[in-house]
Amino acid sequence: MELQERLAEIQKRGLGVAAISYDSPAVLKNFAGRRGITFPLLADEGSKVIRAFGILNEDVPAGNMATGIPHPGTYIVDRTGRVVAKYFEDDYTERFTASEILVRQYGAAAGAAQQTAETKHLTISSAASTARVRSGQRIALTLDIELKPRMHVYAPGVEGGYIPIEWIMKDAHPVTFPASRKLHLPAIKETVPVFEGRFRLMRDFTVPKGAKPGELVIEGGLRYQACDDRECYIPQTVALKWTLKVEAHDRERAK
Amino acid sequence: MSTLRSRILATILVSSALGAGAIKTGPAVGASVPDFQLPDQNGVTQTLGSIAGSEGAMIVFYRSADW
Repeated sequence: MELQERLAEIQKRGLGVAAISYDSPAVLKNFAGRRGITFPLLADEGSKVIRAFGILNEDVPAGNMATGIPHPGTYIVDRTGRVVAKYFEDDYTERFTASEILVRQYGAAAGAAQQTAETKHLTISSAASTARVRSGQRIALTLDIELKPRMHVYAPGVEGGYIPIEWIMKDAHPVTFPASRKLHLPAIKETVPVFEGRFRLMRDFTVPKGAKPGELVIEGGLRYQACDDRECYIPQTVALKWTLKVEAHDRERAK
Repeated sequence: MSTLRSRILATILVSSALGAGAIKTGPAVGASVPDFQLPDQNGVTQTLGSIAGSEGAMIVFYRSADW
């Protein structure tokens, strides 16, 4: 189970972990035993707590085995119970992974390094929050970019003829950019938003629901125009590639 | 996918398609979650206080451990 694998990392951030479902303690004991789960699995038989949170899935007809299930999701709360962040998917068959939440919430190093590319202007290291995935899971992809000394690239929203940095990728969630810096260019009397030094771009990727077990390659590109204090260089696109391993969903039931 | 799980999923997907609007995601960021007191897999009663670490807790709601 992915959450168990990430437990130490989550606990290192001072967070306790508990997972809540409508199963009985006996079913949970069996499940925890089979999977080596050490954190509390809480038995919300009758779905009272699921209802109190207001996340009961009311689309399930009464009398169905699934009656009483929640909309699946994750809360991060502080010690007083105040919600610091929450991760819910609109789509029933998609869900956030613990590793994705760690990367997003805490800027954790994305677990699975992918590739490093170097150009005249910058170095790009790509990673995924996890390389082992299942269909419907949502993971985080990161690009850690380090510009060479005195180089800058343009941030989104830049005006005029400047080309902003762009992470090209089909079927992925929007890119999260860091705050840009305003750079004043005395020569042309303009102030433009730029990135310099080291920065991270991040975006989520949902593994397609039809993804079959085996290798899944995601491709994209990073387009940018770099400039230093003297000149601007020709715009470039660096090819990006992530190789993930799709695993089959667990089908085993408690006896 | 097991027949049982497929059947349950199919029911949920059909019902979700029929149900209108966005899903409910419970307490908003900044709001407080309700108190709870539930037995864990070892029969130990747990509360937010008992599961929380120094900074708080990650509370995961999932469908079921059984199917």
